[in-house]
Amino acid sequence: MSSEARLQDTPAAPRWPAPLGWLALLAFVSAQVAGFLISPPDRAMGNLQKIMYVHVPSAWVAMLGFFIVFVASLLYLWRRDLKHDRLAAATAEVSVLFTGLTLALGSIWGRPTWGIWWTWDPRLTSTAIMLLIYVGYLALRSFTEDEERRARWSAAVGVLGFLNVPIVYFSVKWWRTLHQIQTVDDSGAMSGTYAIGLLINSLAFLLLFAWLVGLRTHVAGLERHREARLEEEALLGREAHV
Amino acid sequence: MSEWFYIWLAFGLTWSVLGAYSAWLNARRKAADAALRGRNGGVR
Repeated sequence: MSSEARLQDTPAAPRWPAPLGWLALLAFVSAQVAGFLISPPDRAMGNLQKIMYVHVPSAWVAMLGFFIVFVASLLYLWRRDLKHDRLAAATAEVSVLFTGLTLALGSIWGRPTWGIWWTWDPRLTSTAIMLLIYVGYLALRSFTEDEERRARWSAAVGVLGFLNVPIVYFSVKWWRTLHQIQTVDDSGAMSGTYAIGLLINSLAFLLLFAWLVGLRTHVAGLERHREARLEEEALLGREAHV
Repeated sequence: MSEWFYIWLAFGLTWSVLGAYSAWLNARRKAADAALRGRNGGVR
């Protein structure tokens, strides 16, 4: 078989559904505008309450993302299928972005509300540790050349690193903290208007998060596909010289 | 500083970070796509 024919035998790279991105963008813009328009100033926080519409959904999708990393890592260790490794890596990267955003947004809210940009409060500290764990996860991936070993080590960190996520979530209940308790808890204390604003923004963030993870996984697949082709070409080149 | 300064800072940061990351990912996707197409003589 000729090298050209063998290259064309390689399965085609998957196509990316572009409309999902436009849908995510539309939902995000609509939710942000709605959040601005529908919620009146809060009695205690005034208009600063609006920051909740970006800070809280960002934290929620980040924690959801780390749960996906945990599940995908377990699946990789069980099945040894690299598509689970790619999903875990893509989700970790997007979730690190949202965690960084959560910390920055919390800091921006904290300055006018608490009078400080940062404090070593249990919620803030455990969130910063969570960020460092997953930055370490991404660093480990970039330092490890061998694909199988990288996937195995990353999966171990993806499983063990998740132990910190419930600590972040429950930190406001377990310890006396400056940070307020969970935004939505069993008491259902939030009033309807704020809850609607938070709900639609959370859904929009979720859609955007899903799109970003899908796109990142897709890019990883394309790049892996390209590497496989280059390896195949190199092999064919060697065969042609023999 | 006015509370609106912090509100616009928070929303502006969110839009900039998410916008920049989306644009970077899209650029990477297009580059990877183009590299694959180029290597395969236009056949996908």
